Amino acid sequence: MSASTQSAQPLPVKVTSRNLPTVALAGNPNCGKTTLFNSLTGAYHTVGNYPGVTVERRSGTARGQGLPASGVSLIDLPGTYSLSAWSPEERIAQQELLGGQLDAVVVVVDSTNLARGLQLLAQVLLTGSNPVLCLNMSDEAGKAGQRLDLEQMRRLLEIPVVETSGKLDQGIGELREAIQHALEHPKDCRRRVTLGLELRDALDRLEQHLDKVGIRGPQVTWMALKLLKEDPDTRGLLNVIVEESDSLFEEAAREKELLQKGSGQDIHLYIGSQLSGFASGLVREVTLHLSREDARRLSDTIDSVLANKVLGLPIFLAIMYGIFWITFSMGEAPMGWIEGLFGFMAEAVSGLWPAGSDSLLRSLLVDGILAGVGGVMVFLPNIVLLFAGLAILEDTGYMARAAFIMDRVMHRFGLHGQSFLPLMTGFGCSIPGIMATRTLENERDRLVTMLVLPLMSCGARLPIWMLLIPAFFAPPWRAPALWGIYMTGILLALVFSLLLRRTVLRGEEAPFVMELPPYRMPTLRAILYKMYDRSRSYVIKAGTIILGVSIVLWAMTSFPGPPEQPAETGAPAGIVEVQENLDAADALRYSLAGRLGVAMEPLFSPLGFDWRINTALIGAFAAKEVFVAQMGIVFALGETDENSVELSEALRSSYSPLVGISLMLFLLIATPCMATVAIMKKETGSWKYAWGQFIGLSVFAWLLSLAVFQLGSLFL
Amino acid sequence: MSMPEQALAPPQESLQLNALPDGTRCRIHTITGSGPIRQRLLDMGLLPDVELQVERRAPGGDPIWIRLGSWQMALRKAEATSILVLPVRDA
Repeated sequence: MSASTQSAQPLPVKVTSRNLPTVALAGNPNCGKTTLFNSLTGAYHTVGNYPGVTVERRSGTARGQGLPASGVSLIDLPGTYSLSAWSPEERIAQQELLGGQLDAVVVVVDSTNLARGLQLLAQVLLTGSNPVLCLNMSDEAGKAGQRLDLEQMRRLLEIPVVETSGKLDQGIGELREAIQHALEHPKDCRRRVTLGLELRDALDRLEQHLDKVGIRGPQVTWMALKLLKEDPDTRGLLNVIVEESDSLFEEAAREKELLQKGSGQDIHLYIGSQLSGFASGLVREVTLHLSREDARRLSDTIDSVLANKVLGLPIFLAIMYGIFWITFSMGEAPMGWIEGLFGFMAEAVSGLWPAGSDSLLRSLLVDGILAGVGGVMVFLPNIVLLFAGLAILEDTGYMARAAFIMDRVMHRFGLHGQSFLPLMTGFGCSIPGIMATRTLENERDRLVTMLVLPLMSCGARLPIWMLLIPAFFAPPWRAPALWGIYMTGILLALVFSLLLRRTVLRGEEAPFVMELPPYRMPTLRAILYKMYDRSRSYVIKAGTIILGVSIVLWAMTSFPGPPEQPAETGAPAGIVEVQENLDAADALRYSLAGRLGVAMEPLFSPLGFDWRINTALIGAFAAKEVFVAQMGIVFALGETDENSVELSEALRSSYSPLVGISLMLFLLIATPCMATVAIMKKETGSWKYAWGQFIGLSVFAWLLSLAVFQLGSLFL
Repeated sequence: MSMPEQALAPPQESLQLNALPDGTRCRIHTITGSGPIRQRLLDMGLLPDVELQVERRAPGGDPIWIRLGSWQMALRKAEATSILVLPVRDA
């Protein structure tokens, strides 16, 4: 299993133009690489104040003053503490750094956490890469009183060193120039890393040995270091390319024993101490002024409340409730405007035809496109609000605290504390959530998290709740109902992971180790961008997939038309209208979608769904929002009246609240959308998990809705 | 798997990190155990002689939140047992 999953770790190698020099950004998690990447390339990738936001290798072209006119191909690597690479996303970073394809490597260091970043620099230097040192977050370090002697640092390391603040967009010009300088004057800085004499000698001897068997080049030092650590990957590689690899391993083992005996430490501790010794020595040499101890007092004070042993959990639940409350209450007015706009458009378009016309084009425009796409677009304000709330939690650093607070609960249910962040991402969309599970080192943890992730109610399901909740719940119960449906999803995810961990995915528990970044004030720009980005993709989806599926569903709901109708009689107007509505309902039932819906009735009637809901369920597999679109179409076609009633009112008069609850549960749990099935196949490397998840969730959803509806019918 | 660190018996007063109450300052004596998690702790800079402070515990007493100079991290009790520390007496 692990083999198949590993081979599926996609290395999204985008072919960048061969002529452009290639530069990578490497650094610890949460050191601000992506913000710099965005500044350099003009791209806008999601950033956040927690480790592990970037899980894939991204590339773009950096241009601007200081760089060659044709630009530089820039790669943003996932954050990594070292080049040992334990998790899938760290492996991506390591492969790239050791691949030998890079013309320069910018090591991004968080200035407020200098020593640890410089340990990574030491490793990058030892790989023989051509380095640039970028001391990021210099504004924050400066505010805390830290002053560094950059000249001294340049003298000691003999590499370009620049200070930047990605947040304030400072030092970007200097960074460009430094990159250009490094490209023009490539350096091999392996010797600049001060190591103990014993270690240096041992590495030299191993390098000579490697040279004897024909392995040369700037990477030999790193290879020698890995041999000392008996790294299985390096040994595997050498086994393949070197004939007499055994003598090499023996030599390495001898050197290792010698170093261990001399230091009294095992090799991993010893090498770790050597690298950290280099880093802390460097910090001592270049520090003009230390940062004040009290600089983080505010962050600590906030944590003593928010991460409090007693208050932490209730505060977390209250914050989540607050976000849902805002999503509802503040969304109402703008929703009304969008509804009004689409209503106006529908009237205007209808006005082009004489009253009572049964033009197909009019029906397509009004009952198909405007009812379908409009029905989805109405919920844009809620999407924007929900994402503003989540963006603030992400960018302040609260999410990492929430993971800390929730770890115990997660752990009890067999989930890893680190699963928490991908699960929260799942509230936005399951796809990035599933991708974010790459931060999990253990394959089983990762699989469990991916399998339960669609239970996190995603943004595409929000329109469904916004349609159904007002239809079946009185105003004071709406926010609690929304909170309740999200909580139900979370609760089920926990129960399912416990079941999976106790049955098919049994295994050892992986450790939980997570960095907690200080709180940071999110920039308005970043929050606004996340809101804009989310609304943009929502509108695009409404204009493409939802539009397309709406047209298909409209056609399926309109054709074939009903058989020849009897000529109109001279009955009174009121009766004619009733008759027309009945005819319309019959026509719907006669259509392809109607027939499918009717055919599904034996399966779904026990759940309380009628054929109209069934037709919408089909569309929901393409994209969840389509459920809303199709309900709009069915009810638009089903009425002949020009002044259409609001959809949620139509639903209220057609279905009981019990059907509403049964339906909401079914839509929460069943049938992850097409895109989710596809990404599951991609990330797990097998259809087994993709379809297993699909079928498992759908069957469970059916059983749960059945139980709720049948038991509810007994008592209500 | 050679384990030289077993050869040096920890000094009498060294404790497992999880045994320390909130607010205690201590110095790392060594990191025991083996494999990826040990390497991860070393990579993050948890090395002999590094000073740290136990800040707080999550609801339920686990994980543990520690501060190492300018940065902070959380780890579970299970991982904290592999960190042997010497309490630092405040001057």
